[in-house]
This record gives sequence, structure tokens and C-alpha cells, in this order.
Amino acid sequence: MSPTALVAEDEAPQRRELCRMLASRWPELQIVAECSDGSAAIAALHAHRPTVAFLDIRMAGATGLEVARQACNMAHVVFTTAYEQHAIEAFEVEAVDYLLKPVTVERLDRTLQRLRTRLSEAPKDIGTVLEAIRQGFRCARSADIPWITASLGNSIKLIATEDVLFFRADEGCTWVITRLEKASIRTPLKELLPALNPDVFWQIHRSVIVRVSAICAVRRNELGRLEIALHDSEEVLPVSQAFRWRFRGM
Amino acid sequence: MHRLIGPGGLAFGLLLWLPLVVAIAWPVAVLWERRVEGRHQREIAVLQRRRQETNLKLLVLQAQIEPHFLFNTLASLRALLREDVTRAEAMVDALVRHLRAVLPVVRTDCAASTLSDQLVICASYLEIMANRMEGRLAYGIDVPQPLLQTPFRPLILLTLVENAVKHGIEPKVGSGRIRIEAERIMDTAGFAVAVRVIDNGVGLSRSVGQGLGLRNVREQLALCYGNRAALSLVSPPEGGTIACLQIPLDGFELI
Repeated sequence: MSPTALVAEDEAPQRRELCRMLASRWPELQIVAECSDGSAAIAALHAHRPTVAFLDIRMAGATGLEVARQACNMAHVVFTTAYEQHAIEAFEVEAVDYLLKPVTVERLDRTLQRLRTRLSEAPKDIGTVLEAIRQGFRCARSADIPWITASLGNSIKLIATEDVLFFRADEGCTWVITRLEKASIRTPLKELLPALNPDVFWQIHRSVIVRVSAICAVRRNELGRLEIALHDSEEVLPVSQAFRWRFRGM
Repeated sequence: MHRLIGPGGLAFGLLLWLPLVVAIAWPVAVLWERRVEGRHQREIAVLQRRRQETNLKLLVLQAQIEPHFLFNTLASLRALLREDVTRAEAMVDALVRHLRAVLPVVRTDCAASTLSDQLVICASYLEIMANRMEGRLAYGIDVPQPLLQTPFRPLILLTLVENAVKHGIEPKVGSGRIRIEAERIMDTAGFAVAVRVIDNGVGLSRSVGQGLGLRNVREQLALCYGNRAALSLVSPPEGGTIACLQIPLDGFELI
């Protein structure tokens, strides 16, 4: 039985070129699916069960990494990428096959040679390397989110974290308040907090996170409770017992 | 024979002279201090301006050609060489135009850049992307003639257009379009130019990523115009994304 292949690449000229190169360098390889996005690739993977899957990393629908997770035990995976430093380092360590775009004949030959020798084996489990890449992307992303996508009426608006005065949780949603706007997000404060710089934002109440530089005054109200007045806002924010230590000495 | 002045006499002398000395020395000292302070402030202002200029240059540098864009374009070119020489040729021309416009930005005077220059850069980028994505991307640019010579910082607009492609159209299954338009508006601070990049892509989502490009734009605007410039990104209910840049015209006369 001749080996089969799936090629997933969102840019049509590049997809055709890879298929053409495969046809000339490995004529026995039968290309059973050419996909222009990740979701189509997942569907084709299950429908055709190809021996080899060539997956572009950046695609609409699902990324090449997501497709690979599905392909793990079905097909030998070869990633294609133009420039994904982080992923390439991980591939090198785990000896996962990848092709750098533009693909050269010499490099393709080496990959195909390796694939031919592996055909009799079961596809390699690349779960660990995929997990490592996912973690890496997440790490690069987590600390200090610069932007927040929030709902403003029926629209969605990108708000710079630098513009946020405070966050307030209220009945299952979190309000994001800037000098000019009040928008809402679905992320609870508890999940939001680790993503904010702890020197810039302080939690002062179970339901309030405030930008430190927005604090204008801390005072005691007639009931003896601490509360905060802000620059650029009329709002007065409560400080709960648990967070009083931040303002010790008052 | 000289008579020695006793301790009492010395104290008396000091008592007499001290107010006089203070009365003269005090204003002199104050004036001197002001002068020194004035000089310091001028020096600080010069240093701050220099730092601001350096920061701006750095930000422009960071916004240079993305390797991902370059390698993918070359990969498409490699494919087109074999199947469609005319298209390949057009792609090389667009790439050269783009590189010529983008690469020398650091060497030239950023202040001399106009909206028209920036639209040329965006057009060459969009032409390359439309060619690469083959029918999945359409685009249009609609800017009134009198606005074309508006001074406009380099590569800010390109960042918004790149975002529209990368985060709007590319993740969309199927095809999309991008439109760039501009108008002169009047706000509380005077005349401004508003430039919008409108796409009908997937809209703002959690996948905005680090938003490094946008952060760069914000920093440049803040350094150049303080709080008189604005950047906003909104996804309206009907979908897609509208990125709007608002930049003060500052006495720039429309011809």
C-alpha cells in the first residue's frame, strides 16, 4: 500500500508548491487532502487517516499545533513554519520533523528520507513537545497583560491596561473602569489578578482591584471603615478588613 | 599703641554688621540660586527632549519588517515563479516597493513623513498579502486628496493594517476585506485627522496576543502628542474591527 499525505497550509500558492515538490521528490506518496484551514485539516485527518500530515503552524480555524494534537497517534507529523523561534527550539530538542519556509529541495529530501525509514513504525508521540510549546506561548503571554478586550454595549473594545482606573466585580461580571469609559469582561477578579502587575494594581476588596497611581486619598468614613477616593473619578471604593494592611499606619 | 578690642566689643560689632551682611547676601544668594536652577531646568529639558527622540527612534526601529512576513512572502514567490511569471514579477515589484519604503525609515527624518507616504507602504503590504492569500483578501484605500500631505509618523498605520490582516482576516475561514479611510475632524483641542482601518474579519477576541505592535503605537503617540492623539479599537455588533487613529493637525494648513 502506498503512503498517503495531508497538506494543510492557508496560503494557496505555498500549498500548491509544497504538493508539487512532494510529487516530484516522492512520487509514490499519494496526496489525499489539501486543506486551507485547521478545521478542514482535522476533518480530513479523520476522514482519510493519512500516513503523513504536513501542517502549517499558523492557520485559521485551528493552529497546526492543535491539528497535530488530534493527529498524534494517527499520522507522522511534519510542521511547516516561516519563523516561529520558540517552536523551532522545541522541535530541535524533541527531534520533531519541521520544514522552514521557503522550503528548499535539499531540506525536503532530508525530511522525506527520515519519513521513509519511519513508515513501518507507529507515529511518534509528540504530546510532550506540543505541551511544552503551549506552555511557552502561555508564559510569554501571561505576565502583565497590556490589553483587555471588554464589552461596551453591543460592541467589543480593546482597552489598554494602562488606562484602567479600577476593576469591580458585580453579579457575575467584572466592570473595567477607565477615565472615559465603563466596560465589562467575563473574567473573574481571581483570574485577572495574576495577570496584572502587583506593583501597579492592588486588590483592596473582595470585589475591587485598583490602580495604585489612581488613588487620590485614603480616608475613614463615619462608620470607621477605610475607603479610597480616586483621581479622575467620582467613585469611592471600599477597603475591606482583609486588605487594610496595605494602608497600615493610617 | 593699639587698644585691643575686648570680647564685648566684638559681639557689638557683629550685631551691627550682621543685618547688613544678610540684607546684601540674601538677595544675591537667591538670584544666584534661581540662575543655577534655571540653567539646570534648561539642561533637564534638553536631556528629556533628547531621550524622547531616542525613544521614538527605538520605537520606529522595533516596528521594522517582521521576519514572518518576509519569509512567507518569499515562499509564495517561490511558488509563483513556476506557475505564473507575471504574478511573480508583480510580487517582486511590490516587495521591493515595500522594502524601499520601510527600511530607510530610521535614516530619514521621521517628521518629514506624510500620510501619503504611509498609505504607499500600506498599499504595497496589502498588495503582497492579497497576492499571497489569493482571493481571500480584498482591500481599498479612500483618503481625500487634501489630507494626503498631512504629516504622519512612519509605520504607525502599517501596524494597524498588519493587525487587521493577522488578527482579522487570516484567522477567518473564508475571505475578507480591509478598507483604509481618513477624514478631517474637529475636536475640543482643534483640528485633527482621523484615520480608520476597517476590516470584516473575526473581530477582537482573546487572541489579540501580546499586542506589542499596538503598544508601540500607543507609546509613539504619547511621546509625540501627549494626550492629544488617540488610538481606539472596537468591534461593532455587526462584526469585524475598526481601528481608529486620531492625530492633531497642529496648524497644518490644508491646501
